[in-house]
Amino acid sequence: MGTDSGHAPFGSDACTTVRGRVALFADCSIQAVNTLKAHMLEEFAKPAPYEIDGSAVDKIDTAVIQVLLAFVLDCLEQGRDFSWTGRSAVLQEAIRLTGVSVLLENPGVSPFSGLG
Amino acid sequence: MNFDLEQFHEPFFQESLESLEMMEAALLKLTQEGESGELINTIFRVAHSIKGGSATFGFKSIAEFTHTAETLLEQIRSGKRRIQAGLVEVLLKSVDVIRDMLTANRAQQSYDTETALLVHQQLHFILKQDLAVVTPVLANVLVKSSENTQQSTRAGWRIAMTPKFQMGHLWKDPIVILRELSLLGSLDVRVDAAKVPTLAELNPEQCVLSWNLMLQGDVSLEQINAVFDSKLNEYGVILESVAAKVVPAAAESELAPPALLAQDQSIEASDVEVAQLLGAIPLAAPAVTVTERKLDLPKVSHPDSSSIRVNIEKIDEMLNCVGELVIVQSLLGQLVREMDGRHGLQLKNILELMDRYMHSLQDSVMRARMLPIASIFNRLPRMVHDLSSRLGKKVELQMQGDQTELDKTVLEKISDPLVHLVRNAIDHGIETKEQRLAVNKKAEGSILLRAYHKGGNVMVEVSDDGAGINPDKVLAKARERGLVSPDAKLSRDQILELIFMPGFSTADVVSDVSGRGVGMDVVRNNIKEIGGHVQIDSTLGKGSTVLIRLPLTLAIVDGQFARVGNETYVIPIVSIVETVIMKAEQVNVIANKAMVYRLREECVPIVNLRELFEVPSWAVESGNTLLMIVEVDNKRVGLMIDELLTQQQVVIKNIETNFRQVECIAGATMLGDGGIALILDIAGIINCASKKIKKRDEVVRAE
Repeated sequence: MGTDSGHAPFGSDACTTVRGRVALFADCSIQAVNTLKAHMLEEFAKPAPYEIDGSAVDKIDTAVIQVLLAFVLDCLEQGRDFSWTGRSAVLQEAIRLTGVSVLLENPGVSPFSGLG
Repeated sequence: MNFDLEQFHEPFFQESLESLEMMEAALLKLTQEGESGELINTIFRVAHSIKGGSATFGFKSIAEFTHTAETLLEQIRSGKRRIQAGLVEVLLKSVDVIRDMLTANRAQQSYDTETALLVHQQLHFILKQDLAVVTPVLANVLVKSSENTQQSTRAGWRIAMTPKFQMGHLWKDPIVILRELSLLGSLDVRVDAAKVPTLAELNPEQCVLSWNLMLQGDVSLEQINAVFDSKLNEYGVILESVAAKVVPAAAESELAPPALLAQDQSIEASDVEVAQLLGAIPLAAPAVTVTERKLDLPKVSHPDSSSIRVNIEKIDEMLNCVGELVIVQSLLGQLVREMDGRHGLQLKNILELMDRYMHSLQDSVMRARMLPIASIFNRLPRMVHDLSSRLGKKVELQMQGDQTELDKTVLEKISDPLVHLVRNAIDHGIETKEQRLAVNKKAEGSILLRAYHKGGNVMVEVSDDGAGINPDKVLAKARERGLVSPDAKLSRDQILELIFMPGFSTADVVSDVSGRGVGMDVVRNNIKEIGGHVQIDSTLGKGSTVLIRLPLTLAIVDGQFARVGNETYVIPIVSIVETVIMKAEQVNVIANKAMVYRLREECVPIVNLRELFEVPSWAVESGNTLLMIVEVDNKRVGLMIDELLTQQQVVIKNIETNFRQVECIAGATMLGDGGIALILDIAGIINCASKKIKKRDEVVRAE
């Protein structure tokens, strides 16, 4: 795990953020949620735009969905730009099941615009 | 008005279960004393009251079942139907079913639907008979349950889900729940994220999301319940069946009680199902069914208007507080003792007064935990009735002293042993009618249950006038099993004691020995666990008596404080025989290196508490060591202690709850200075000591 911009790495392997980028790690279970939250707050303290990468997620609990939702809602509320760069099938299913698909999108960006 | 009926559920369950005992006792009396208007009225009133209450609270299945029983009872009450043995049997089975339904609903579990349906069908069968005669065979008539099952069709379920617990405490993560629901049918999910705060404010472990789901398909309530693992309350689930249409099968409509059908017609079919679920699981907003019904609160019967029901937890809480107060008082006492002058004297007087009130308060709270032993005794007539009928024996059960009071915890623990002893008395003690007549006994055997107070204990006796125990056979069996050496000479009492040995609890013993046998070791262990004692006396040909000695309570013990090194221990006074100053010349080390103390004519094994509890060696005393002789079940050991301290009643605190069970320790109590003293488990220590001696013996033999 590491950063490409000289920032301190995460304390756990729950996720890795780089400047303007939140990369969710494989295990996004409730055990990792507080670490994830702390580092998303750290990222949020940086200037927008943000990229969220969920391509590595292979385990996720509702607690992490809530954190993602709070992050995205904060962005929307403060007019900060964000986009998704990837979502694993597990993450995609969790988003669908919990009914938060629409809420997690940036209305100003077409869904998965950065996914190629 | 939206009225929360849920708060009345527990009183309803409690009173209904107690009323059922009355109903059962009255039914049993009917079989003995024949028809009696008063008994029939009692039985009818119980059924009527339970039916009313269960309908009020939405326990439809209980209401329906009880209604049928009540209809039958009404026919008996009005003289349209005569009481016959078979009918009483079916009514007794009905009592069992209602009890099961009540207990299951109370515990939010499912009841035995198959038996309930079977007995329900039997009741309907009787109702259909013109004849007043119901043969005992009827009690075994089987009706296939599938004949009357309800057919239902529905579009789906509307499910509101607002998890109440922290995520980590939920049985399954909501994602898992949603996934499993989606596998049952087509699931439309609407999330409510209005409560999601800013990321900084969010406690991710607290569920702030809630969902409104539409599950389409022919999904049963049971399937949904299974997804939530019957923990709908945990997830704040409210269910509504959409476009449900219940089509009762022809037979069901024929059998359904008219009064209930009339009531149900005013309720949407969907509500009926929701009501069923509400009966089993209290939901966050169950007003759907109960508030829409125009129902009165149940007419709860109050046999004694001067008493109130109090949850046992509240009493325990009070007892705990009293225990804490005793500690605070003791702290205060220490301070006051150091005070001089007028104020000091005044305070001492006040403290003495306080001490008196404190004891009185403690006694009052203890008494509040006491219940008459009748609550256990009353379960036995039914068992005696059933078992004696099955075995073809005539047995009369007499009960004396059923108002003798015991701590609730003790009562709960003796229920099973008592049932076991009475069952044993019928099964193995009382002879058959022919055998009894052959030895000039009256055909009907007799079992006497007695409870009474004796020296701070409660004694319970179970006597029978059966065949008694043959000591020769017991001894022969014990020798055969290697429980005693072939040349051992045992007294009659010692031989009878062998019955409590684990090796004796086998079926062949029961058939060989015309007395006790099965599970007597279990009985003794259960009684010992609560600090009681059990012994047996028997006369061949005349009968047997099992005598149980029980402590009044398990919550408080009269304790002797003792110091070992820097540690303080509490020894229950009831176990202490005497305390002597240890003399070196009277200590003997026997062949297996175990230490014994020669006390007059007796050799007592010594237990070194310092060694047992690993009290630090730096705390070794130079003064006299005392030996406290303690006894349980006629077995004695001497406990080595450094100093005898005060005697005091102590409130026993369970250490198992917060830590784990510790061998040789019965619990803990708080000291006046805020420290903790462990209460010794004397039976455990004696057991431990004898194990150690045996082990050393083996080592010596091996050497």
